[in-house]
Amino acid sequence: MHKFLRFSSWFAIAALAWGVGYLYNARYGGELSWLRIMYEQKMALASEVQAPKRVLILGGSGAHYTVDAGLMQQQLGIPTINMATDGPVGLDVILPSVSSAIKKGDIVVLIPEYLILQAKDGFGDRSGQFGVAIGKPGLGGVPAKQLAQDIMLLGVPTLKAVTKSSVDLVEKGRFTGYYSDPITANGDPTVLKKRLKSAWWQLKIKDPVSPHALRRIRQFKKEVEAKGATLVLGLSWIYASTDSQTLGNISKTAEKLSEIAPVLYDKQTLNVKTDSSLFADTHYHLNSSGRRTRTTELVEQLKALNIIRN
Amino acid sequence: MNFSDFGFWWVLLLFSIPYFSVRYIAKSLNLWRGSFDAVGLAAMSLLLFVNASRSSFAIFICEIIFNYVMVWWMLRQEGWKAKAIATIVIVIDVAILAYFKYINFFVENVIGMAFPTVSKAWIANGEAPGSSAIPPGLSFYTFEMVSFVVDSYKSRKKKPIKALDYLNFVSFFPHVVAGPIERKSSLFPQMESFRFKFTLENLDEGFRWLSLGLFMKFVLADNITPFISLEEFSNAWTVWFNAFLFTLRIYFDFAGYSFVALGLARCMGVRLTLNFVAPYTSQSINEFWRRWHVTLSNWFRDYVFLPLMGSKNQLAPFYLFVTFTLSGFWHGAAWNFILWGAYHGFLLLVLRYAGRPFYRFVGEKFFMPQFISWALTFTSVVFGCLFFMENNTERLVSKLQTLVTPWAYSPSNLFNTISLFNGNSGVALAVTLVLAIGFLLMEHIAIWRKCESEYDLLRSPWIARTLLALTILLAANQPSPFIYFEF
Repeated sequence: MHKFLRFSSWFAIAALAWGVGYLYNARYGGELSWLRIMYEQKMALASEVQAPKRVLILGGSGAHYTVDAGLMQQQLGIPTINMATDGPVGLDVILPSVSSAIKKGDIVVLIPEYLILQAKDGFGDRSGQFGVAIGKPGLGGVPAKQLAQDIMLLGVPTLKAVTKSSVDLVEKGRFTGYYSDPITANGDPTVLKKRLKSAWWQLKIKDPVSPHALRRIRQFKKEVEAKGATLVLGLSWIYASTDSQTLGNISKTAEKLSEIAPVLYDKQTLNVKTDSSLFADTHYHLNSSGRRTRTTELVEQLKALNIIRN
Repeated sequence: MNFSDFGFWWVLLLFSIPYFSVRYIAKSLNLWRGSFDAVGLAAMSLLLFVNASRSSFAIFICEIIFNYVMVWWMLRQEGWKAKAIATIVIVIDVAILAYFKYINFFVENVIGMAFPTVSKAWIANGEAPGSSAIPPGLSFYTFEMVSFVVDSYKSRKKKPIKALDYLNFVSFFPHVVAGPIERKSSLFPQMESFRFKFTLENLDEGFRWLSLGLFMKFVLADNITPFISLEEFSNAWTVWFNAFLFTLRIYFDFAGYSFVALGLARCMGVRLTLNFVAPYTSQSINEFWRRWHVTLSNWFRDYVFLPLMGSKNQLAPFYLFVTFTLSGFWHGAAWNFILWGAYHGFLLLVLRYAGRPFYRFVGEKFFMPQFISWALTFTSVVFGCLFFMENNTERLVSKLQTLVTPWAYSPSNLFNTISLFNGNSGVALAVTLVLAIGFLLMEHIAIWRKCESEYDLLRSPWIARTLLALTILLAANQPSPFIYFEF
């Protein structure tokens, strides 16, 4: 009995360490925890804003840091909520994670980054862990093996993250993360990051939208319409190369997406920008003036679709 | 097996749950026969091997069948016939290894020296089929098969061997890909009477080795790896610092692997040979090689050095140098590995001829001679790692030139080296180094306290459990590949 108890201590200690790691990663301190908190805040906003017609912006961080939902609300005159989260969550998890927020009359504008559109299986680095963190393990049909691995790693904070958090605690008196800044009543970010360390280079889009992404978006359209809402798609603004491969792949992506739902984009430029001063820290995230221009363009494109009537 | 790959643990779990459930039920109904354990182990090992690499698995199975049949035949022969069979098996085993590992190097670098056109044509036509990357585990199981043939040939009692036992001996999953390289006398008897022995003692002992190995690999080696840079060659401080980081990494990486293997085996009731015995506590290069990759060193001693030397004892130093150079060449088909092996062979010769007078001198002149010996040995090992880590010969030469250039040690260069590691990453590196040095210190303390084993303190009940907790909390989320998988 004594031996058994002593041996059990291995599992007790492992469970305790994993539990501490889980609390850090998913509840408070780790990057995933900030993402979860932001997601829960956005879902709460969506449940608070009750109107016969709303605009919900979906996507990854490329949409979160691109669309100014507050400005869009002013210009369209209808409630607009930025529901976008994070690209590595993956299309197959992003879409079901917000589906409960969609209701009759909503206009759902999905603006996925190319990273999301090109994925062959709809999952990213955070798919499994995000589902577990928001209390829906396996959301989006994450395969069992990946889910098991993600759950295991959910209790592993890593030395790098723990060090960063410890330094934060000493310097700022609190933990911080990429998504830890507050959001507005429209779900927009309040702080825009700047690119400090590396120089800009033009992104190349090497593949068009994947068949999987097309299938999943087509299915999502059915889900949205079943709720009495309308799906609209959009192409991201990106700081990218204008080489024929990139433009060809974007053009093909737009064409394939337009077979599913209306696609918002500038047909001349294909939303490819060659001026890096519009961008904040990544090839998808816009600075304040860029966000305003982008939002105004989106509003015009939405109005041109004739689906928004006050 | 790649313990860093979740796929390994996943397949192990998927196999173990149904297998051990059936075993438990059958045992309770008195339907389970002991030999089914050996069948289960073989199935487990082969399944994990297929999962790791299908192409390598095909070569592995062919080699197992060939070796088993030939050893079976050899054991029924006497005199020159048995010797001829053993020779054929060894030649074919080594030829297969040489083909996958050295054919490109041989044609491009050796033949290419004399006939550059041949080398160019070879490169232009593409490399030999299957030789672009060495199949996982090939070196290790080839060495094991060769030693099995030699030991079987030399054994006085020519007892027949069962195919299943031989299969389990070679394919035993904890060690098949990267060792320890087990000998017939130590592992084969355990496979002949194999039964899963999940006793609390075995599990506890196994978990201690596992926690030690996992901590070394996932916390120490994997957190050091991102900081190692091969690019810098003009700043002597940076060159030394990178070599130092690599020295730590290679030990934590490979010894970590070996201890995980040891722990997994021990959980099942199998004892594997200790492959690392606190090598960085060594006070001479001789001692270092008794503590570093012990099973490989013993293999080269017994199957290369002693047969090469034969009765010519007076030529022992020469054959020692040759053996170490060959050992370097085993690590990789590249000049830097040959240089690394030759460098260590040279160090051993220096120690052999100058060691005693040097120790006498140090003992008389210095207060802590052991510390001087340790520092010199460790510095020699760090310097040797320069050869090991750098396979770009031009850059290696530049680094060596830098190290002997006095102004490359300028204060501004020192400042540049320090300023490379700032912000959070610098703090992360500092924490990792504190953990790593603390770990090595525990090995030293175990020796000073004359503990039974160098890892006694680290495997003591609460330290081992603390290491497990630290592994869960501090493991790197992107494991680096095991260095020895390349060999």
